[in-house]
Amino acid sequence: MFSRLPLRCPRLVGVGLFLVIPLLLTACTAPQNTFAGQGDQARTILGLYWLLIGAAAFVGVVVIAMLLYAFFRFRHRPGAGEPQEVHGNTRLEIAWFLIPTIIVLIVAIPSWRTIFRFGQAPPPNALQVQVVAHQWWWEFRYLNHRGPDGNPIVSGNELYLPVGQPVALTLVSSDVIHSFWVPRLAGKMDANPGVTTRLTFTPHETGTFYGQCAEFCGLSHALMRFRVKVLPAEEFQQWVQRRQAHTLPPLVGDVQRGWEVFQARGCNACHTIDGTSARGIIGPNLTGMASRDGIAAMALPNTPEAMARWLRNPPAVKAGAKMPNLNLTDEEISALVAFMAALK
Amino acid sequence: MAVSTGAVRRPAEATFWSTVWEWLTTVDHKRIGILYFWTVIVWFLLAGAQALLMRLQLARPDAQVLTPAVYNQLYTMHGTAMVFLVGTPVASVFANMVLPMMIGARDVAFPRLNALSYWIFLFGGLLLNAGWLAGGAFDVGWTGYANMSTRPFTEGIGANFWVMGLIVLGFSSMASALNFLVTIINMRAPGMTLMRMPLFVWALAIVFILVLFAFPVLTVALIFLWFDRFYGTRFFDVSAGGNIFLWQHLFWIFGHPEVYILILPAFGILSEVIPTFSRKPIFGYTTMVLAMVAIAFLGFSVWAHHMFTVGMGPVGNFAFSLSTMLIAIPTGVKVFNWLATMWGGRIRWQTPMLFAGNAVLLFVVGGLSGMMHASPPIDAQQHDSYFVVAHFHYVLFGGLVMAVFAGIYYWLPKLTGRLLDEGLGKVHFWLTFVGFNLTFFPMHFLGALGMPRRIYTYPAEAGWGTLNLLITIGAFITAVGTLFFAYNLFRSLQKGQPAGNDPWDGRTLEWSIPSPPPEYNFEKIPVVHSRDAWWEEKRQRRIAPVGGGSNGHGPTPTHAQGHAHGTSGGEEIHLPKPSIIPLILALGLAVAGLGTIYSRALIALGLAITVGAIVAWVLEPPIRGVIRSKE
Repeated sequence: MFSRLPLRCPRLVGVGLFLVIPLLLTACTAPQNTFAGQGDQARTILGLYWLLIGAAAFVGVVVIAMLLYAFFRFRHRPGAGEPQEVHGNTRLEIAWFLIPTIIVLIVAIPSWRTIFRFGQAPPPNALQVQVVAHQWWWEFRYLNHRGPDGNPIVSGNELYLPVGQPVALTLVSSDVIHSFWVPRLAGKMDANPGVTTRLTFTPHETGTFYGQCAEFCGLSHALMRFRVKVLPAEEFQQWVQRRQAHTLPPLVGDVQRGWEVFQARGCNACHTIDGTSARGIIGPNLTGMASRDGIAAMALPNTPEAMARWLRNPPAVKAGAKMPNLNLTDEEISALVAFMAALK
Repeated sequence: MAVSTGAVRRPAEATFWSTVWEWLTTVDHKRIGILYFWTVIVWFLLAGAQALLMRLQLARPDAQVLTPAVYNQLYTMHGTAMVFLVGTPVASVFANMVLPMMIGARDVAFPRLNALSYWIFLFGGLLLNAGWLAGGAFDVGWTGYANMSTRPFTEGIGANFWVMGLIVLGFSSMASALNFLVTIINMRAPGMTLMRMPLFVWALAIVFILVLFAFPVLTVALIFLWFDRFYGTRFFDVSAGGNIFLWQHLFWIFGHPEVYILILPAFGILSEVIPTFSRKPIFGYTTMVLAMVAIAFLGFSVWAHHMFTVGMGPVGNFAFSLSTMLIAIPTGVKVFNWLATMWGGRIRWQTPMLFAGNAVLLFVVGGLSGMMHASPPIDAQQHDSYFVVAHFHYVLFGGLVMAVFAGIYYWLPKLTGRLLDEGLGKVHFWLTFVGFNLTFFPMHFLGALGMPRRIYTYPAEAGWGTLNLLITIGAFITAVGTLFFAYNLFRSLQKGQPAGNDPWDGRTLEWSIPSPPPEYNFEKIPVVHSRDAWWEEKRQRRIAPVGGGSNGHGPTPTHAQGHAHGTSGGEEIHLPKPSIIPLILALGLAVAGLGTIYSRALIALGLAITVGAIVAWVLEPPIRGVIRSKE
C-alpha cells in the first residue's frame, strides 16, 4: 500500500534535527503524512515547504543563537561597570529592515508562482468528479461515467481514481462548511453550502490514501473520514463497468432475508443500491459496501461485528448521526449484516 | 506625611463590609487594575484546566474520557476564554495597573468609565460562560463560523450566551480603549512628548486604536448572527440570497487586528523589561514606534489569510499572501532591536527578564511558522491542522503569556508593595519553559502528519498516538508550573519582601513613587525632559546605584527620593469620588443581555436599570474632594 513510502522517509531526517529522532518512526507509518506526497499537488507543495522550512530554520537558528549568546555573554557579573548607553544606529536599523525583506522575497516569489499554477483551469482530459460533503460523510459523483438511468455513478466515503490522470473535483456541501483533505495527494479545499469550489490534482501512485474533513462541522467532525483508492487505469475502468452493470446479489438464505428487512424497515428510503429499487438519497450509496474499508465514514472497521454494532444503534457509535436507531431485532440485524456482506 | 488629608473623610476603621464596599465603588485605576488582574488570572486558570481535560481525552487514540459534545464545548470555550477573557483584557489590565503612572498622571481621563469597563468585563465574561450552567456551552469553535453557528445546525442555548456575551464584552473593550486613548493624549506629564513616551504606552495607544476599529466589525457580525438565530434573517444562507463567506470576512476583519490587539501589549512589556534588566536604553526607539504603527496598519489588510482554502481564487490568495508577508518586516525589526538592546548590556537574570527573553525566543518560533502559512500553497496543507495550533500557541502563549508573566513579576510589586518570590518564580519559569515546548513543539509534527485540529478522537492507525501522549505530558508539566505561579501570587501578598519604590532600578516614572502608590500617584506632577525620564533624573541626582544591591533589587525606599516626596509643593489634587453607579450600569446591561435570551420583561428591567444608572451618573458629582500638597 505504501510501497514508495520508505524512500521518502529519509527526507524527514531534516525535520528530525529539530526534535527527537524516534518521532520519525511515527512519521513513516502515518497515512496522512503531508511529507509523503504521492500526488502532483502535494509534491509541489512539499518542494515549497522545504524551501520555507530551510529559510525558517536558518533565521530561527541564527536569531535564537544570538539571543542565547547575548543572554550568557552579557549576563551581569558583580563589579562590572555600567554598559555604554546606545540609543540606536541608523545603518543597523536599515539592515534590520533589509534582512527580513530579502528573506520574505526569497520565500514569497515561488509561493506566489505556485498560487497561480494551482489556479489554472483543469486540463481537458481531467476526470470530472463532484464531491458533496454531508454531516458527516462524503458523496462522490463521477460526472464522466453514467449508469443505465443516465445519472452519474455515485460512491460513498470512498473516492475511486485512475492513476496518472488529472482529476478535477468540484466541491459543494449539503449543509455546513466542510473541507476536503487528502494530505498525500493535495492541499485541502473547503466544501461550502451553495457555492462550488474546485480542486485539481493528479495522483502519481496507486494505493489507498487517507482523507479527513478538516473544517469543524459539528458533533462528529472527527468521524468524517474517507479513503481515496487510486487504481491502475484498466482496473478503474473495470470498477466503473461493474458499477454500471450492478444488480442485486443472489438472494439466498440470510441475504434474501436481509433484502426483505432492508425494504421492510425503510432503509431504502435513505440509501441507494445501484440496479435495485433502493433509491434513497439521504444517506450514502451502499453499492459495494462489502469491499469498503470502514463503516459510517470510517467510524468503525468493516467487520460483521462492527456492522451489527452500528445497525443496533447508529447515534451511539457516531454522536449525532442522522441514521436513527430503528430498534432492529437481533435476527433482523444478522440478516442485514449478511446482506451488506453480499454487496460486492 | 507631606499631604494634608483633611478634606477627605476616611472611615475610622476598616471593617470587612467597608472594604468590600470600597472595592465595589472604587474608581482608582490601580484598584481597578487589581480587579482586572485577578479576574483575568481566574479565567486563565479555568481555561487552562479546560485544556488539560482535552489533553486527557487526546492522550491516547480512541480514548473515551470525554464525549464529543463535551469536548467540542471545551475546545470552543477554552479558545473563547483565552482570547476574549485573558488575552484581550491584557491591555486593560496593564493599562490600569501602570499606564497613568508611566505618563505622570494622577488617574485616567474618565475614572467612572474605567470602573464601568471593568464591571462590564466581569458580567460579560459570566454571560459568555453561562451556557455551561444552562444546558451546554457553545460548541462551534471560538471563531463561531456561520452557517454552523446558525439555528438549523446549532440549536443550543450556549450559542445565544456566546453571541450576547461577546456583544456585551465589546462595550467593555471599546470603553476602556476610548478612556485610555484620551488619557494618553491629554494627561501626559508636561514635557512628555509623544516621542518621549515609554514604548509600552505607545504599544497600548496603538492597541486601543485597533480596538476602536476592530470591535465594531465583530459586533456587526454578531448582530447578523443574532438576527439569523432569532428573527429569521438569512445573512449566511446562500439559498436565501445570503453569503456563506460573510461571517468569515467580518470575523477575520476583526480577528486579525485582534491578533495584534493581543500581541502588541506583549511587545510593549518586552520593550520596558528588556532595557531595564539590560541597563541600557531601548535600541532604535523610533523604528520600534514605526514598526508597531506599520504592524497595526498592515494588520487590517491581511484578514483573508485565514481563508486561503475557502476558494477565493489565485488573485485573492496572492493579495492576502503579499500583505501578510509584509508584516514579517516590521516584526523582524522589533526582534533585532530587542537583541541589540541586550547586546553589550548587563543582563540581570531575574524572573521578569527570564520570561521576557523566553517570550522573544518563542515568539520568533511562532513568527516563523506564521511565515509558512503566509504561503497559500503551504497553508493548504497546514490550515486547520495541528501545525496551526502549534503556531498560535507559540505566538499567544509563548509570546503573549510569557511576556505577561514578565510584566506581572515586574509591575505587580509596584501595586502590592511586595515582591514575588524569585525562587518560586524561577521554578515557575523552568517548568513553563520545558512544559510549553514539550506541549507545543510536537504539534508542528502532528500537523505535518495530517492531524486536523478540533477533533475529539483519532484512530491508532493514524500514527499520532506517541506525539499526543508527549503533548499531554508537556501540558501537565506546564500546569504544575502554573500552580507554582498561583502559589507565588498568593504567598507574596502575605509574605513577599517589601518592594520599595524602585526594586529593579527602573527607567520610567512609575518607579519614582512609593509601592503601593498613593491614591493620587504623584503628589507633584513630574516634568519630563527626555525618554526614560526617571532614569535620567536618577542619574542627574547621582542616586542611581551601580549593579543593584546585595539582593539584586537596587535601591531601597530610603535611598530613592521619589516624586511622591518631591520638594516643591502646593498643587491641588482632585480626588475622584468613589461610585457604585458603574457597577449598577454594568449590571443593567448584563440583565438586558440575559433578557434577550430569556424574556422581554428582563430586557425592560435591564434597560430601566441602565437608563436609571446613566441619569444618576450624570447627576452625581464626580469629585470627592480636593487636597493640597504641602511644602
